Amino acid sequence: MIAHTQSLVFFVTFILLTMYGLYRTHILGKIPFIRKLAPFEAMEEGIGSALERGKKVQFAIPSGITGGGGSGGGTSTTLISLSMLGFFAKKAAEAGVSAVYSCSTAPTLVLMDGVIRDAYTLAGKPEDCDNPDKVQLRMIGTGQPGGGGVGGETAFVLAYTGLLQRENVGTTVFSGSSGKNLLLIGEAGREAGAFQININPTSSKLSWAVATFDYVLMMSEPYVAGAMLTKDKTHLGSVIGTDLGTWLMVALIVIFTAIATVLGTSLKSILVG
Amino acid sequence: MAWYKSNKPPLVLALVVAFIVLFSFYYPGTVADTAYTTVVDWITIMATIMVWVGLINVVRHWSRESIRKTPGRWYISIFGLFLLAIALISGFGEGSRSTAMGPQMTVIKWLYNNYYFWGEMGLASLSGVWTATALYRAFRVKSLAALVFLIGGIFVMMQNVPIGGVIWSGFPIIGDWIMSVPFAAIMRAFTISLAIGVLAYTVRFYTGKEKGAMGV
Repeated sequence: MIAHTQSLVFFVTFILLTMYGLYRTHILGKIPFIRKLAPFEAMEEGIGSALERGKKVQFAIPSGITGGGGSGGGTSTTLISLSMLGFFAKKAAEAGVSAVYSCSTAPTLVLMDGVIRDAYTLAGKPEDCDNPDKVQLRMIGTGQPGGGGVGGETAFVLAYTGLLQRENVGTTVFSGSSGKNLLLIGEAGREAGAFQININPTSSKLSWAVATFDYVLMMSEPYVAGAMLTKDKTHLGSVIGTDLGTWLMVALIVIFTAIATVLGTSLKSILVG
Repeated sequence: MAWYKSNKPPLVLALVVAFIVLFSFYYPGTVADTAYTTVVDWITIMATIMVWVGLINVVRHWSRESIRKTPGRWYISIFGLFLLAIALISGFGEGSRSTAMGPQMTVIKWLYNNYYFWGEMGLASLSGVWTATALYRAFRVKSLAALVFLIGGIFVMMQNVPIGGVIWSGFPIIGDWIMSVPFAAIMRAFTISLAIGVLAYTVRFYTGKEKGAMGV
């Protein structure tokens, strides 16, 4: 017996739309235009700026990998953060700037280690990974922001804000959210004089991120960043699928809102009967 | 490169797990449910093993800083190692004698109630100060968007403080409308776009094109 039928219909529809996007780019060769995202350009500028000022750069992933994650974000946030980390670490390695990478869960630490080593190897500087003056990878705090429990959020936030001050960080990327403490993190970074970028693929405390960080890569933007960076046909095709899916949702919302307004009934009663 | 050294094996493994989870969600009550429970158990086991990796990393880092006498940090590192030792010794000691786990253990509970809790309260109190400074910077009108932000912010603030309704009875009504209509609509749009983005990412991940999470 199939459960969650409506969810399955949407799931299959969006997979088909993505497949159509891949067909357009791979078979028909129609490459869509992807606008440049300002936070990405700012990331490169921030690394250069930190180098010029003799400061360090930092990249923090506060979320976990084993699902859940509370307001810090769950597995998908961590996976996209790791993708961003690869880009950031490669740029930092090429620039030769000292970098501090931090996380709040042990599984993320292991994954970050692999991504950073790959990035530095690609940049031709694998030896930097074993030089603490160039690369530091730290698990700060335990648990994950928003995840609750002893030492969860507070320890990470305190350690992160302390790092900004002690390590003389010039540019920091905070990839994820941190529930109620995102404001504190952003303001502490401003006090430390750091150029701050927040990658926030969650809807948690987005307004605080916008208010305190210099740049915010928000919602679905990080998910299309790979397309912008690599220009890979599969990435670009999936962006077409994303856009079509979005427009489909907009059309459905408009149609059902109109129907509900005219008939005076709710969407749920139209669908369920 | 040998196939077992490439990113193919973990990718195939991830694909198998994804199918198990999907089948368990859409076809409950089948063998997929049992497989799903096994997968979740293994995730917990692996996460527990990785905690030890994190522990070793932390001990290495703090030890290095203590031995090298890193300026401004060596004494914090020693204190961290000291606390870690207390937690480990008391945890193993009490764990061998009673059934208390983690925060229920005597020493850990004492540390939490008398040391950690007050630090957390101090941190929470800081949020009040930072909210004021962040609002000051956010509400400086430099553009039309910032002006709209300011006006909306004033109404929502006045909705949430008792004096708002005393000053003008319209503040709570408009503030409530802003939160329940435009704000809710925008957040739903964000959530929908996020869900679609995750789906597209999933397709790329399982076709092996999104390699970021497994190395560049």
